[in-house]
Amino acid sequence: MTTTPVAGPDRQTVFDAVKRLVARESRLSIDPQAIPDDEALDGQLLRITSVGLLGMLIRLEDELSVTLPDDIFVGRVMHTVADLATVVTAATRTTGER
Amino acid sequence: MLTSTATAAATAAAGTSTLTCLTANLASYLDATEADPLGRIARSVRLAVCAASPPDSLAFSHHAYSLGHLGNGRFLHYRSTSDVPELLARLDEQIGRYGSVLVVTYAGTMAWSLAQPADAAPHFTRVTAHAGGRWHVDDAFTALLPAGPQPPYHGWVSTADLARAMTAPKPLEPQHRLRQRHVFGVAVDVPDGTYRWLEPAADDPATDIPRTPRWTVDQAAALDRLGAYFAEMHQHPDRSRFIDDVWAAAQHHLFRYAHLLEHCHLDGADRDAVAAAVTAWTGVTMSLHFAADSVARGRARPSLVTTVFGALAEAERRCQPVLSRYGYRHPVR
Repeated sequence: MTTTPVAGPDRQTVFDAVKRLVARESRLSIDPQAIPDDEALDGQLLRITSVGLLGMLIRLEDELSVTLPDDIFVGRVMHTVADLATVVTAATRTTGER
Repeated sequence: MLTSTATAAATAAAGTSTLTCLTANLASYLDATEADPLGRIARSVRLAVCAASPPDSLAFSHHAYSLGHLGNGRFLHYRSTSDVPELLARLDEQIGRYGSVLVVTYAGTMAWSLAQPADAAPHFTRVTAHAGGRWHVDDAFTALLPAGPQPPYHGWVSTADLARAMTAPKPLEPQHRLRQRHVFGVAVDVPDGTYRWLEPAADDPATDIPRTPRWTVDQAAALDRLGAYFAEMHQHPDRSRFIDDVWAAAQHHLFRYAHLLEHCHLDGADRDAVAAAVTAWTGVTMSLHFAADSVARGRARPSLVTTVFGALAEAERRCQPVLSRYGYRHPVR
């Protein structure tokens, strides 16, 4: 299986998707756009466990048609919404199997 | 890659919360007779792997010397029966003699567990008293499970609930049998019978002490072997059955580093090396679950797995001098 890498999704699209998912995962009934970029993933507002984060990464790959980088689990600490969105923004968009 | 616990400071604060079910409850069991059971467990931590039966299975050894060795010429042995009255008499006898007894339970059949009822993963818990037809359970294990955070449990259960907790919900799978057999770090016999518990006895039950050449006991080589093994999950999806064994290795190593940070004064460079290892171990299980889920979605991620294990091996390599300096490293045999 090979894929054709092209530019990843734009920053705003990624942040919108990330905030929607963290709000859902934390069972919040607020406007996802109201969540600050620097909000902690596991803090006063958001309650994202490692299990929840894993599920979100999978959903983000599917929803944004991206492939997260092979080093996503190496040396990273994802504390905030922006940390997560930055990783996804750097992902490579896939255009399908060849 | 946990969101907020992937720092050395957080791990130090976590302490015993990173122990597995056996080590958490064994530490409590040994508290009555040993001065520093947590120190002994922390200094025992290692990772060795071996090909096992059935084909394509792996056995894991997490301890460089047997945790079942009680230090006074006595060793913990599995005992078993399928007869409830005999079970209850033996548990009573052990509680009377030692103050508690470690019993084998199963994640899905414990009334206090969040796991799915069909989950046959073996578990160890401590029974500390028997009165009025009820048994007092002290289960120190805590972890974040797929179903949610599993807190420690301290409470009374009926005889029926205890017997149910000690009954596997279905036949054990290879990874479960291997885990039971190697739970002390050395291989021991696990007798047949519905109900199992641990009793001290005079003879050493070890039937196989992990050492080269059959076992990969050098940690760097073991990590390399695991990276290659899990990188091929797209060709061998059943290998995901052993992700929980890597989780156990991660928990043990995180506990070792927590113990090191709590009991030894490390300088900045040493603390940085430990923090990097903590981050690496914290991410490894999640990366394997991600890779397994990716395989299930038709996306093989072999290089993600080898990247993670390569980084972990490098982080561990940097920590070896620190571990040696403070007595947490074992000679490779």
